[in-house]
Amino acid sequence: MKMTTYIIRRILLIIPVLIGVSLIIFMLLLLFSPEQRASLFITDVKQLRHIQSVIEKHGLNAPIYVQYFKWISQVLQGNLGWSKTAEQPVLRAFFYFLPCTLELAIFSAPLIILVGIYLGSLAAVHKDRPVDHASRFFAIVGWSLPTFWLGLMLLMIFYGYFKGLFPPEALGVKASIMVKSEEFRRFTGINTIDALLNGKWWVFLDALRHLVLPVITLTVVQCAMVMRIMRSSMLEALSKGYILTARAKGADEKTVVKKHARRNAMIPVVTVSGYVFAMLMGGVVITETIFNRKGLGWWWARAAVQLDIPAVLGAVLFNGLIFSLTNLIVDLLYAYFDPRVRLG
Amino acid sequence: MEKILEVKDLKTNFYTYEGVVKALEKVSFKIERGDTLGLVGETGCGKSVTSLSIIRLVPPPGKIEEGEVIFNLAKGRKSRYINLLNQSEAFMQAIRGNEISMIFQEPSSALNPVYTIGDQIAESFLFHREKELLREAIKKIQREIDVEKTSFLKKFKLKTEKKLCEIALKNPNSPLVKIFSFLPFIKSKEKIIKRIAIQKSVNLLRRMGIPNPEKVVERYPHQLSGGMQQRVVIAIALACHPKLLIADEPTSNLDVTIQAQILDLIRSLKEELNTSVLFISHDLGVVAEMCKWIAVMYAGNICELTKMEELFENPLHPYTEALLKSIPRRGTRKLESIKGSVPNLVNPPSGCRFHPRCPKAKEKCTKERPEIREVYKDHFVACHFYKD
Amino acid sequence: MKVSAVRKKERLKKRLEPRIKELKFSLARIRKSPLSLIGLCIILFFVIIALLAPVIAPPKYPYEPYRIPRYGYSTTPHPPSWEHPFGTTEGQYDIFYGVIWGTRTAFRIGFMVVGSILVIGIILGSFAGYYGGIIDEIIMRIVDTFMSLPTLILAMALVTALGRSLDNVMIALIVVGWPAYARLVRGEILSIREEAYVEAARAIGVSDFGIIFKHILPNAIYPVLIMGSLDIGAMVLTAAALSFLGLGAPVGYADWGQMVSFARNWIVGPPGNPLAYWHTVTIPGIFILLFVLGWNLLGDAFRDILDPKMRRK
Repeated sequence: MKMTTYIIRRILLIIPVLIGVSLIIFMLLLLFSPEQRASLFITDVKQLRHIQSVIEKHGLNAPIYVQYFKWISQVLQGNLGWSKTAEQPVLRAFFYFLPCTLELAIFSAPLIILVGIYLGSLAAVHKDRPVDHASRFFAIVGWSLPTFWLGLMLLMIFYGYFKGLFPPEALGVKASIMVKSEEFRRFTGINTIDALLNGKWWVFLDALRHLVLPVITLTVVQCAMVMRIMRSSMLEALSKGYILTARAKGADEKTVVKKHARRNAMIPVVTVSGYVFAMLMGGVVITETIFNRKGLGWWWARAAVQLDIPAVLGAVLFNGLIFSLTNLIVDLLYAYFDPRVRLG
Repeated sequence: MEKILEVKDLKTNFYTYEGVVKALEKVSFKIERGDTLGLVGETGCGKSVTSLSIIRLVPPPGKIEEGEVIFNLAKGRKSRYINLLNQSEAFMQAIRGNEISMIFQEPSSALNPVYTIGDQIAESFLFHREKELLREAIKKIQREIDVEKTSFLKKFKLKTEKKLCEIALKNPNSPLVKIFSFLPFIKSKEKIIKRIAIQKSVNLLRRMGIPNPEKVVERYPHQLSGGMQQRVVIAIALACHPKLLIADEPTSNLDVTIQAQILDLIRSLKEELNTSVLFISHDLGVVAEMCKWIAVMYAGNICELTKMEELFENPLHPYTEALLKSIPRRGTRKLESIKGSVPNLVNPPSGCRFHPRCPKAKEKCTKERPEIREVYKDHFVACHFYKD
Repeated sequence: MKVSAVRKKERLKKRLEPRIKELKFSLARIRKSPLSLIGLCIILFFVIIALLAPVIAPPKYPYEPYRIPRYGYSTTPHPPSWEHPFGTTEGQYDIFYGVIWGTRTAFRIGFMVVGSILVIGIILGSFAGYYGGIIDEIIMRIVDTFMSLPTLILAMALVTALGRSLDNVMIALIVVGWPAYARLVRGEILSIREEAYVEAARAIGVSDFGIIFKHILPNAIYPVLIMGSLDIGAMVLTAAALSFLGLGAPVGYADWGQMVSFARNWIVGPPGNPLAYWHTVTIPGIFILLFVLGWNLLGDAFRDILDPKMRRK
């Protein structure tokens, strides 16, 4: 009983946040001129020529709160405007660019979490010894790296110096021809998965090869953060009374660390893990731009530079949504891992 | 009567930023089998460090420097004395929770919040009593097999599980056991013995006087009251019938009424299992109730060690005298205190560590540390005043 | 009269004694920790560069010192040489000049942004934490909303709206950054309010004002300072990312991120010498890395030193 009310409450809390996000977006809107705002309401290229009539039609000269409600109602109907950089309606563009970004996220997120947890645990158990110092050094340098610089340097070395070992873009020339051809059936839009489902191993390997550098770029910075949180959380768990009890029971060191300390240390890490996915959205903007992978981040970066307002605002809305969802999932995970939260 | 534990000249230091804390100077005492020794002293005198040193769980930056901890690993009547400080860590892990158990002050932090009560008590059995659990499992499975109504398929499953337990019993490291754990419908060895261990935990909780033990076993620590938690802690400690129980201020954090219950519980269990107890407390009253012998500790040394009644009737060490005088009684007008304060153990006083506060201090007390000696029968004191 | 002055001095000394001891302990720990020393050195190095910029790299355009001088118009970057110690980028902008004056830009961004969000965050957070009620709810809802968006995305949107310039980038970062501090300060105030020593102070009769200044703020400030020192690096990173994407400093401005964006087309050199243009990418990037690293090390050191529970390990 308690669990369901908890879930329902968490879901309901998303709503005020979404309202808040929409308000932010709207305030941003006000900074634009009516012409710019008009592009939010059109669904077709041809309408661009008749901007003035669009402005009239949607009453963009009307008072603010009226405009806000008109815009909200439109958004709820699925019309987020026309993106000039994508040359399609914003909503459709999302689904067009999403698979590429998802592919990156699917490979990066687990790596970030697992490596971070492992290194953090290792560093805590061997505190103040070389392993600890090395891990912390890696964490601090990793956290200080500019993502774009890391990406460029990796490209320079592994694509330039090592003659195309790990190239940019999503697929090589041959593979991208195959992917666009008739015999290749699109299931999810994600290259790696579709390649496997089509049975075309070499496409799968080619896609993987193209994924190595972007995934590393995305992973290093976030991994550093997860590692530090896991380390401090493990250290805290190891200083607790139940560790002494476990030792007094005759537990060996392995059991103490794995069974008793780690389970408790994971709880704060779980919280962070939820946000990793959301934070990837920010990192993806740079990474996709550098590696020329046409995903959401690539689109948003171009949109910002070219003042494609519907796309930019769409980005804000989308991220707000993602964040709220991850918040919810994090809370649920928290309840699963910590019986004190679950049973009150 | 034979001894269960003898501590000789135990010296433990802590290497901190502020200097070397000489926590235990030369601690010596012994406990006979079946007796209860109370260890009293002010906060910071080294009682907990002593108990941790016995089972070698002194946390860094602490280090046991010198001394002997002789423990009697008797089987039945035959005594077998071993110096615990010379043993390997693996040996100590077999001893802890099995031959010597320890319970601590704060029950809520002693229990792991993410595991059920049952899991945590069962752990004691799983660590030290695997063979016994396997034997019980075999018997239980056999009983289920013998029931006429069981289907052929189920009998096959049970027979396989029984075979698995028998193999594990004969050869704990057998690879067959690991292979079995991958099979889909057969329960792995771990699961089988865990079931048995949980059942034993339920029985154990019942003996602790906890109502509805089947339900409690599935609860988490934060769902129990302080008194219940402490009972669980005691259950964990006594699960394997240890010969020595070290109780470090087990009731200091509990209400007085619960305190009485816990003390009664410890007392009755001790009688039942013939466990020796090292009871640490700063409360003379509690110790007097529980213990046959009392050792008074000050600044890393044992000052006085004797039978309980003897201590109260005839305290010999000036510190003990002062302690007893400071207990408020009916009719006390003015609270007595001991002048001075507990010394800094980085730079402890020379000679006898109590001399700056001792009304009977002589010049010898500043120069030479008094050794603990038997002044009267079964009455040991460490004081230059008694130069018999 | 003289006697009472001497006695006052003695009393002051006695009160300060434990604080001086703690200060000495902190300094000893700083000295002992090599990482914090390295961080300190790095920052000092950058401070010196920033201060001596006009001397090390004399500006070509006296009223626009941040405009990187161009030595030609050819697109191919040239490797380091005597006239151009770090080489030139596409369009012949002198890299040496760019990174030297870029140091000043970095400090400006870091200090101004973090300084502003500290002030805004502390003020709003204190209101929320101390007065509670409706004010708390409103401020916290705003904080929640802002914190539900990734920094880069929101900053991008703001810069798009406000127009492309470094000042707008700073404004965007300030708008995006203050919520974290407001929440932190509020959280600290709420937890400190419940502490036993605050209750004790109130029981003795210390005034509300006294409680805030003597008990709550000195304890609440530490996590904020730690976060601030770590954020200086983070803000410079985000600003650099925005400039790299083309949303920040204008072309030719002495800003590290902007300089890396010049290198985008020159990652791989001609087939015989693929690393020919390494200097365009590596040098500005290393400056960014070191700067952020220095502040992160320092912030980390602060955290280890100032946290009272961790101190005596």
